[in-house]
Formats: sequence, C-alpha cells, structure tokens
Amino acid sequence: MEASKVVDATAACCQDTLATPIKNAVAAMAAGEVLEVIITPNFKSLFSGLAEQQGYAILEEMEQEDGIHVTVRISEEPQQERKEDKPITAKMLKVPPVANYPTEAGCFLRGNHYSPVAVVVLLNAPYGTMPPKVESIPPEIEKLVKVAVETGAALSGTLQTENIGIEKVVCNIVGNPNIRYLVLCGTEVAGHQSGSALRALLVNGINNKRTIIGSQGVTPYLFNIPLEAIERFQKQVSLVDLVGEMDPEIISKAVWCCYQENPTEFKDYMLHDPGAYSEAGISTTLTGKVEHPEEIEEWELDDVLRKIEAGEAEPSVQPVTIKQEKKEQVKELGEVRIRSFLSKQLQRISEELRDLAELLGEETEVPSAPPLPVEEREVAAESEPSTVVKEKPVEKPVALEEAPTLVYFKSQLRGFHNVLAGLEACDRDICHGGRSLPLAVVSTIKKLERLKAGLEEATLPAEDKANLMTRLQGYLERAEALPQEPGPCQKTVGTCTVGVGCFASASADLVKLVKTPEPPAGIPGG
Amino acid sequence: MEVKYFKNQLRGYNVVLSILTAESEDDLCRGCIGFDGAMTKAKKGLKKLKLDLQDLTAPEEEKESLVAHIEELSQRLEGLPEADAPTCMKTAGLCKIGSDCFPLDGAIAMMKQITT
Repeated sequence: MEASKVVDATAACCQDTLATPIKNAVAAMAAGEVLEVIITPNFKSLFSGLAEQQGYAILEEMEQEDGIHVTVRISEEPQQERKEDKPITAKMLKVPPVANYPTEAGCFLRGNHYSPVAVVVLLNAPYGTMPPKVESIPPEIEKLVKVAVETGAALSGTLQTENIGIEKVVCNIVGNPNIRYLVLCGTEVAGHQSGSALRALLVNGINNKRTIIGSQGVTPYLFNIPLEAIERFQKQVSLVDLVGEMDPEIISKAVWCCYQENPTEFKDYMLHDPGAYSEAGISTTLTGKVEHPEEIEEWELDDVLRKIEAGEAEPSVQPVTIKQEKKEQVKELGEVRIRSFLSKQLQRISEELRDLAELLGEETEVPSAPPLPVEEREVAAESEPSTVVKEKPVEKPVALEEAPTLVYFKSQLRGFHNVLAGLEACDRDICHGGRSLPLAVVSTIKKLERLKAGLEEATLPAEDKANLMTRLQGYLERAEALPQEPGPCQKTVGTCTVGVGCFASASADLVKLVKTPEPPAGIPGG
Repeated sequence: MEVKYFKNQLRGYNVVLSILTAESEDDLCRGCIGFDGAMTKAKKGLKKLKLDLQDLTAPEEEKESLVAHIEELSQRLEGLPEADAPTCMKTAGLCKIGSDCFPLDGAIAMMKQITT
C-alpha cells in the first residue's frame, strides 16, 4: 500500500520524540490516508500505544535493515476529538525471563527481574580470590554489588575473567529481555582487562576466531556460547560505562536513572526504561567445550574452532519454545530412550534440588526490596527474593601462622631449590665449559654461605633450625659440585646462540623471585 | 626457521623442565595453580615446536634428532606429578614469597632468555 507520507522516527529517544514528528505529519494528512513510520524495535510497544490512543489503524509491519516499517491508516475521527491529554498508555513491555533464569551460576545477587538494568562490578583481586569463595571478595566491591540490587538492579555481580566471566554475563542477560542496560563499574581487572573486553564486546563483537575485537585482555575468547547469544547481547543492552568508579552513590544513581519512565540525564547518558527487548529471551548455558580458554595460545585457535565446529556447529541454544520442542522430541523417541531421557531429567532435577538446599543453608543477607518502576509493582509480590548464587565451594588449604624468621628461611630455601635445578641443567648443557655458569655457581655458593651464617644466628625452634640447616647444607654441597672455574664465554666462541640472555645467570637470579619477607633484623643479609 | 632456532628452544626447555621438576618436589608448588599453568604452557610450547618442525628444511637425520629430543622432553614433562584440584597458594596464604611465582616467573620465563 502506497503511503502518503513517511516519518523516520528511528532517532526517537523517548515517548515525546517519537510522538511529535508523527503527530505533525498526521496533522497535515487527511483521514483515511496512509502513513509509514520507521521505528527502532525498542519503540515498537510505545508506538503501538500511540497508535491505539490516536486511533491509527496499523496495516502492516515490516522489519527492514533501517528499522521496523509500520504503515498506519489515519482515523476518520476528527483530530480535535482525540484524547490529546491522555498520556500514552503504551503497555511498557515487561516479559518473564526464561524458565531457568539466571541460567549460569556465579557471584551475583538477584533483584527484581523486571528491572531494566544489570550491574557488573569488576573484581580486581588476586587470582583465587574469586567465586566460589564469595567471602573473599573485597568489602568495597561487595558493597557496590549490594547497593546496585538494593537500588533496583535485576542482577548485580562481579566479573573477573575476560572469557568465561563474560560468557556467564552474556548468558544471564540474554535470558532476561527486560534487562536493557549494563552498568559496568569498579576498578579494571589487572591482566584480564575484563572491563575493556566487555566494552569492546558490546561495541565491536567478536571476529571469526571468537575473539573479542579490540579487547586488551590476553585471552578474550568466547568459545562456549552461541553466536546468537552474543549478537542478542549486543542488541539488547546499552552500556553505562563507569569503569574506575567505586562510589556506591554514583552506581546507585545510575541504576535509578535506568528505570525511570522519562529520559533522565546521567553523566553523558540519557537513561530511561524502554521496556523489554522485542524478542523472547534466549536460554543458553556454557557448553564447557573449552573449560580453560586462558590456556589457549593464539596458534591453537584454528584447531580449537575446528573442534568446536566438528563436535557441534554451534553451542546449543534453547529458545523459550523449548518445552514444545522437547514434547515433540519425546514423541519420536522409543520407550527405552524415553526412560533414559526421563532418568537424565530426574537426575538433573535432583542435582538442582541438592544445590538449592546447599544454597538455602548458606543464604546470606537478603537486601531490602528495591523501589520498582510503576509497571513492576503489580508483580513485586511474585518476584523472587534476592539470593547469592554461589558455585560449589572448594576446600581451602589451611594456612598456619609461622614466625617471620622461619618463613624467611623457608622461602629463601625454596628459591635456592629452583636455582640449583637451573644451574644443574645448565651444567648438562654447553654452559658446562663456559664462563657464566661458574660465575653463577660462585655467586650462589656465597649467598648460601651467607644464608647459613644467618640461620646459625637465628632464634628458631631447634627442630626447625636443624631441618633448615640440613636442606641448606645439601644445597651447598650440590652447588660446590658444579664448575667454579670460568672457561671461555660460549657466546664469544660462537657456541651459544640464544642472544643476549643467559640461562646460567637467569638460574642464579631465580632466588630474587623471593621478595618477602624481609630478612629479620640482626641476621647477616638483613 | 633454522635448525639453530629449534636447538635454542630445546636448550631452553631443558632448563625449564629441570626447574619444573624441582618445583614438583616442592609441596607448595606441586599443588599450585601456577605450577599447573606452567606445565600447560610447557606442554603446549613443545607441541608447537613439534608442529613448527614440520616446516623446517633440514636433512632428515637432523629433523629426526630434533623430534626425538622434543619427545624425550615431552615424556619427562608428562611424567611430572600434577594436583587434581590445584589452587593458588598465595591466596591460600601458604606461599609467602611475594608477588612472583616460581613456576611462571621462574621456570617458564626462562624461555625469554632466548632472543635470537
């Protein structure tokens, strides 16, 4: 049907900027004429509300590259009789998340799942102080996570790794179409650069090697989630980039702005709740095909991708119609396969119940219910209580308190244990007849003798002292058995071609990796 | 790539392997995630070396000798004990040497000595 006029409303950012150009166009049109309006998917529900209110009959909707083209017929009702003052009662589209939302476990708090915002706090902590050891999260980070949920975020949790961590974030967000903003805050994670990776993912996506384009992280590989989920993630959420921000008040303000009905200024952003994403949630979990992406070297990528493709073209995605699909599959299965299917399902349910029981036993403080946008209040009673979702705990090795003097000698000896191994390896190589090895050996012997003198003077329990002395004496003997008379430099001779480095010198330097504790006062070398 | 490249790499891995062997005798390193990571890196490094060797233009005898050396080092590496569930010993409060890590900043970093 030929439209008399076309209004491009793809630049609209709110109800006013959507309605004004349309109303202006309609004002110059006669009843019965056809108008074509181009809108973004975000404004589909708002436009429907506007059309209903203004009496435009929607004739056709077509998704095209530049947006959704909606053709409407202008009502024959005189315009002055339209209910101009009535606010647009666009049904703010809120949809339930997928059944198993959040699909991935992790260190996060759950809030109201009709909220349009999720918060990711970067967890810049040493490797190991991460989920599932929730108790080891620095308090200032935990505070940000809590504040976000208390203010009204649907999900709020920490992110450490630029691969598995981001994959979990993607899974949990695409499972809930109501989430339209991702507030990213906290101090950038040293090494992983997960903040920049997440930002780069939203802006650039991934390349054909499943590597986040433009990420500064070392291994920003997303091997375990479907491409569909990544694409959806990019379309579904807008980033509120607060990397480096640790102020709970600012995070709280950002969250609050995200669920306002009208566009609200926050820093450089105009935020408001646009309603749920126009398509159903995607239920997906990590495939586990590559459990340690951090171990993948660049040269292995092709091989890894080939294996992923060979095993399965794509990690499995369960659209929300999965129940229907499963029913159909079950019909086709024979009795034996049905039993097997049911058995697996029961086993899975049993495992989930056990996990749930564990979680309930460990349930932490439940944050007070966050204020909700008007549209959400009806469902507030149904919304689930916030809980910390933890992964299974691991046993924590027990650290015993030791006197600093004892720790000092133990650590030094651990260092020399490495030194001796390196020097002995060099002795079996061309270094044997060279110059650097003997120099490194002599230097090591001197250090060991100095350490021995220190140990003799140290105040330590007799048994500890004797054990340490035995080890130290053993190292001294091994060192003394190595060449101490320098020969010609193997580089000068032309035998050693490794470049400027030297294995023997580097081996002697291994003890320098021991940086703490400081030598106790009064001990030679202290 | 020249034969020299492979020989230098193997000299490096020889030192790396000796240090990793020593670390596998250290109660703390053996159960540490750093050691686990270093073992993975060393295994992959040798695997890559073997792959690269296929493109080397050299007398067959020399290539076979290099392959044998790589395989010997790989076997020794595979023979080292590894923990089932390694954990970071610094986080656990057991490794108190400071920020550095013997397996990663010591053993594996030894390969950085090779610059040509």
